[in-house]
Amino acid sequence: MFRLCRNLPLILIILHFSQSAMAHTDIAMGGGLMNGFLHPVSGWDHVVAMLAVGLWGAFLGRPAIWLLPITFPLVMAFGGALGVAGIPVPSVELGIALSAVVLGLQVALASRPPLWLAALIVGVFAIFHGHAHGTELPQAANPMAYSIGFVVSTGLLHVAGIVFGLLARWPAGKLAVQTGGGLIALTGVGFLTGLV
Amino acid sequence: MDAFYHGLMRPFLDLADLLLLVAAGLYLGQQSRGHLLKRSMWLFGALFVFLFLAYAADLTGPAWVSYLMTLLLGLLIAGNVALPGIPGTLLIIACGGMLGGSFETPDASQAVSVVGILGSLAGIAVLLYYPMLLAEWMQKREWQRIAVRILGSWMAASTLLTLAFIVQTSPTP
Repeated sequence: MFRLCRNLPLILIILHFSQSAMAHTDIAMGGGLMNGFLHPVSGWDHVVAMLAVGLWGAFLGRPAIWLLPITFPLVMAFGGALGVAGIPVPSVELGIALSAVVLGLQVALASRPPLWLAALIVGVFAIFHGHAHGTELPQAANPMAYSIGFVVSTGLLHVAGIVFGLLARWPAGKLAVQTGGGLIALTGVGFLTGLV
Repeated sequence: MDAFYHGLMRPFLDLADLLLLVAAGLYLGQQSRGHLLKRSMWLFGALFVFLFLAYAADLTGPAWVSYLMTLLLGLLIAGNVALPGIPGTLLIIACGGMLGGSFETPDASQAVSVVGILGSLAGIAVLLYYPMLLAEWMQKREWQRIAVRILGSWMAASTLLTLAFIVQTSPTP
């Protein structure tokens, strides 16, 4: 009972938003939030790269496991702002495909660069991903709701990668994580060559 | 009762206000208990004054100011940085003023307006104190502190994107 009372405000907020979203799916709030939430998960190039960020973060351990998921959304939003402003970033699609190859390989090869270098690699690719999303933001019905959905969805993909990456604590799990990284890198090669 | 309910739901329905309130709550919750109580009182005081002023005059400022404040708070939460002394207090007072001033004057009688204000205050109190106490409670374990910081980074990222959109779509003079 105490737990219910403690969580009551949160429950009320969630119920409030779910009611709006279900009853009026075409209104700005529901449309913007859901569009933003679904956008990162609707393209495999984004999904595999986000999973790779989480996997690599978990593989590197502390503090990368939490530093990468904190910095990635911020740098990605900066890239998104460039996209919204119409400031061109060269070879965005190539950068996104390369992100899957490079990040996947880091995991597959169990690479452990210094933290600053790992953050730099992830940050550079975050700009490409953000820019691609940002160019589509002006079409959103409600930019704030779209942005929230988009950032939360991206963050949850990182969390999914981290959870899978935590298996690396065990020898068999480490092999599974490295194999996952290899598959991500191969998928990236597929994007680069146009096979996927 | 309708006026009270309308006032109560007002901060829940405006995403800019809702995010600013939650960000202010999380930011305050990250700080030490002494700062937390003192600064939350400053925030609520400024909010209270500006809420009543907003019912007498139109104090609605440009939307980007609210987003900019949320961005700043989000960055401070993500970096686990508490602004010291006067700058920290001024930031919190500015948040309270911004939140209070953003409330529109309803087309209703004075009595109904006061009930609406009370409703708004109740809604704001829930949205401010719940994240604040939650963030304060979540300072015990490392993963909980990290979760609060990740929430801050998500807020900052969302508002940065929205700010870019607002700047891009605002009419040029």
